[in-house]
Amino acid sequence: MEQNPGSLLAQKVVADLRKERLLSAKQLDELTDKLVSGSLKAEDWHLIVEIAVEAEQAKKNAEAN
Amino acid sequence: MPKRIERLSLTGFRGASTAVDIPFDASKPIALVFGENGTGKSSIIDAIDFVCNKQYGSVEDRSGTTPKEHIVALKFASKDLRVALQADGQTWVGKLDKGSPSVSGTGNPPRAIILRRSHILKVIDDQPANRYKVVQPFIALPCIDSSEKSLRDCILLLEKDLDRAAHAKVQAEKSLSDSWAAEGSHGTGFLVWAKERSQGDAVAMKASAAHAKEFQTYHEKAQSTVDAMGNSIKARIDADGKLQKAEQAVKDLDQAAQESDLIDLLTQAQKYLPKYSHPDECPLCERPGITVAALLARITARLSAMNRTILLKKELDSIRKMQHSAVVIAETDRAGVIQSVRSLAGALSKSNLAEVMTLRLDWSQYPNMRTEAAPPVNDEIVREAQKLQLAAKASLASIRIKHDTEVRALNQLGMIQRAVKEVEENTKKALDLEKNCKRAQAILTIIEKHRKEYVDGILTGISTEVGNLCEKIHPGEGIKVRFFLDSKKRGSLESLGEFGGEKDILPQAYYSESHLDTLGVCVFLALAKQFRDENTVVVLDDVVTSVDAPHMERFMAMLMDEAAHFSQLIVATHYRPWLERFRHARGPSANVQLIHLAPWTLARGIRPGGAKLAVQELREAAAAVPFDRQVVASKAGVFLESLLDQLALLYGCKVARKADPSYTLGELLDCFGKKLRPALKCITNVAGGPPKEAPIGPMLDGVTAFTWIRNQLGAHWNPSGFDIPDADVLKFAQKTIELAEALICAKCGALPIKNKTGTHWQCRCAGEGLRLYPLENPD
Repeated sequence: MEQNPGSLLAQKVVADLRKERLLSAKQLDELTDKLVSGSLKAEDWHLIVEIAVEAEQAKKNAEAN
Repeated sequence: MPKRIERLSLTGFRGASTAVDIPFDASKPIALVFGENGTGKSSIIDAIDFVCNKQYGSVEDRSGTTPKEHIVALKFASKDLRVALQADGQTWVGKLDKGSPSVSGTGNPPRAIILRRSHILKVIDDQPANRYKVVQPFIALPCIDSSEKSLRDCILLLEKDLDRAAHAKVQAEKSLSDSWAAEGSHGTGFLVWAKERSQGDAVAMKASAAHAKEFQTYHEKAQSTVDAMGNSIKARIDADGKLQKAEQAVKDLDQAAQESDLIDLLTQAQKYLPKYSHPDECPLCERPGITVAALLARITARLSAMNRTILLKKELDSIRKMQHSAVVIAETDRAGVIQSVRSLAGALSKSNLAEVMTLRLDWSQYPNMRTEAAPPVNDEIVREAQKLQLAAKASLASIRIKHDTEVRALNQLGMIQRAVKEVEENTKKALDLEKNCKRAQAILTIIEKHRKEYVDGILTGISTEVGNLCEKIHPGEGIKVRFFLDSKKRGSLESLGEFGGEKDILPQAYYSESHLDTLGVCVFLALAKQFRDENTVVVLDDVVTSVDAPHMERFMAMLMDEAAHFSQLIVATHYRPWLERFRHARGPSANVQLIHLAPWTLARGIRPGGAKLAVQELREAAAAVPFDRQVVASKAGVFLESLLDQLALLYGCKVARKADPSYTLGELLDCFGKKLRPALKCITNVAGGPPKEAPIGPMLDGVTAFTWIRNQLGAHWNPSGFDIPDADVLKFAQKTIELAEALICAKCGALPIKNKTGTHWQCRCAGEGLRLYPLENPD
């Protein structure tokens, strides 16, 4: 990826999101490019967040069982 | 070679009322476009903005304008507007395409960063949000901003959904609570009650309601047939009465009664006779003499005489028909009553409804109502049916109530089931949405934090650089300004400064107008420096108007220094001292192209021309054949004055005190003292050889011998000047040029007036350049 202020900032954001475990690893892998392209729409974020929360819930349920 | 603008060609663009070419010297990093007000400076700058940034330029800042219309020059159509910009051998052409700037050409034109006076005022003296808009093109990261904005939109949508779910839940709970209260608020709470109630058997309730409805229908049908029968019997009695009266009326007419058959016969004969084939004989006796016409006339006369009898007979016929019809209807209705009551009886006998059971019907009294075969229609059967209908009618009201109660209960069950479902679904939905909201908010917090850190980092860097630039213009005044984003607002640029030892003051409250002017330019230059690339052209459009002469000198010097950071610096100004400063080598004139705009007229449009250096003008005037003695003497004198004035200023030489600081050539030549005059020398390095030294003292002595020529020839009408030989006039010019060539750096074109080392004065060249000794006046 070309290194420019936008991509550097996107990488920092993704690193923090990874640290805080706010999104799944797969989602994070794809997020840098999406942030840099500026192509994310509100509905894309909706889907991203929904999938992340559902995945986390599913994991918790699996652990509980 | 950096990408510099080489040529700009305007057709039909703003002030270019005639096509105009403005050549730029790409070998020089600075272009100074001088012109008095209204000569076309802003048109030139806007043309650069149009091609490089696809912007309308300053027209957009003016109220009441429609840029796509007002960017077109007077007497031109928008389709004829054309701006061609040439840089690095390539040409880009800007036009108006469907009302928008459109640029054609290969690759990207130079990156032009344009600063106008309106921007300066905004960046310092406007609301924080407007300040941010000015710097936004520099500090914004469009891709990250776009992602952040869409995430904010997402959060707003989630919050709206959450609100809707919560609202729907509350509404459903309220309707359950109201129903619970209406039923007496039994149990531990409305939700428990509602959940219990929602388990009700809707199928059984529906069947019961339908059963009740069916009974209701049988009852209503039976009632309606009984009512209809009553009406038809009444109608039959009326018809019987009318018939009786009509028959009596006919009987009362004896003659009519006797003639009844005759009337029929005559009427038949009246129809028959016109068709008889022997009109001249009697149809009865067949004798001639009695004609058919005569017979018909007679028949008509007789019937006419019996007219009332005929009418009564017709009326009687009509009443008979009506009476017959009434008899038929009454019989049909009687059959209908029997049929509908038998249907009701069938339903009653099979029903287990409490309302029916309480009737305790004695079926033995209704033997014909439950037989398989339909009974005959007679008075006895009809009376039996009517009796049963009347007995069963007692249950109709309670069956209606039962039906309505069942329907209400069914509706309430549906409402409760829907409301319980709404409560359950929206509770889950709200929980999910709340989780999503919190997650999205957490992501936004991280993006926002990094974006602000990035911008704050830039702003901190800018603040330092702005301080450095301001120090060059306002040395020792300690002007410092720091810029930062308001953490509570998006897109809000705040600034606080230092002044007079006080920290965190509002710059616009304490700084003078000229301070704010120069501060605005410094902010802009610092931003441009931070985000420059190898093709960045910085353009200043008449940015400073309120600065006094000493600050202007330093401001110009600062700009000359900063120009080195950009591919090209284009400065448009109406401030003539800028032009004269360069013309007289008080700046690095070798690096500056001087463009002088002549007054604009509608017929001739923008008129650019080259402004010559003073030394060049003098050389050309002296080389002319024949040369103009007055021009040469005058130009040599003025130029010599400017050189000596700069030297005297540099060394703080003493001259006679005057109210108006204008000194004669003699005063200026005499001010260099006995020690300074011989010590003055200029040294330049020579490649591959020893440095070249030029003593200034002898040159001053040499030119002193001819300075009287300026007054004799170049300043006044003086007949004695006619005797001055041409050779002396040219010597005066030559000595002045020699002094100028010794004092002005051949490379940068500037006088050595910078103290970089503490040992001598130096020109603006990087490295050693031209050095002037001594540093201080020894006198």
